[in-house]
Amino acid sequence: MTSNKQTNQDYQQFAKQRETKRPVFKNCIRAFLIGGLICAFGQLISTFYIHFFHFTEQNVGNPTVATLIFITMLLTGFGAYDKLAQFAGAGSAVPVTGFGNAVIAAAIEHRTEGFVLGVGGNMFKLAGSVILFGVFSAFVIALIKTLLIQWGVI
Amino acid sequence: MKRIWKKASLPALLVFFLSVAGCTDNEDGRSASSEPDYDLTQVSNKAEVSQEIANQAKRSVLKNEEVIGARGVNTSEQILVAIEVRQMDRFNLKKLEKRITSDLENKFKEKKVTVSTDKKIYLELDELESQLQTEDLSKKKLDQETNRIKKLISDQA
Repeated sequence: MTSNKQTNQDYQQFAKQRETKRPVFKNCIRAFLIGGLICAFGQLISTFYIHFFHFTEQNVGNPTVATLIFITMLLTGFGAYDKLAQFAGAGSAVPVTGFGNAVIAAAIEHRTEGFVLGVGGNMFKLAGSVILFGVFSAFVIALIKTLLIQWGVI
Repeated sequence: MKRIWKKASLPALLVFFLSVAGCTDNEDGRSASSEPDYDLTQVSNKAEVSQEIANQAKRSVLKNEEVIGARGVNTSEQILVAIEVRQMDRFNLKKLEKRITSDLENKFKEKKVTVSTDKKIYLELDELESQLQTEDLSKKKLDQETNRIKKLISDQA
């Protein structure tokens, strides 16, 4: 048992030595830049909607998100978004476009298995956990806020 | 991938420049202030409902250093003002809006005051001001338009 543990540790060390170093800092910069560019593009869309359609700053978010996800859908379908994701990493995953990509890519991938068991069943494979934890954390935050308001802190 | 970018870059640039090139000053005779620090318009008094109160409100709002632009109209019952806030002060947007509303309420006790920081309200009021300046806007039409813009503030759809 002890020798097994020993080899395990040895192996870990050995693997660590051979592993190519991840360029964390470079990845961060890339994610920052591309993520910022996506958000700037979103801002451009919402400004466009405010100027030319009847949306206020309050409710311009909904059509903007819809437009961004629509554009992501096209980019995912044409295979451009995964190239972008390879370059930008988290920068393309954190904005709402990353969520759209996760849903749409799964839908495309499982298309061959039919609509019910393939597309319907697998579409929310990744996005399902986003929804679950999103809703749950929103619930917790709302609970905290309600308590704080009740106690008169904020 | 590279080819796609090359193809897309020219139209994208064109769209960008066209969207930037749309910015012009208002040329409808609303006297603008000479101060470069903020954006103030004064509607002349030939409109059916005198806009002197709105002009006063705008001037007093612009005395706050956080506010860099103001548009507003008044009807016989109410004042509607939209303000543009300096970028770094947008963190306290709600507080600022509340403070300015209560300031104006104290100043114009006989009228109902509404203040908004929304860009859309600002644009709509800008257009209404320019209509007041250039056309003969009837009292009824002004009331209608003001109420329509005011409704936008609480529009959730």
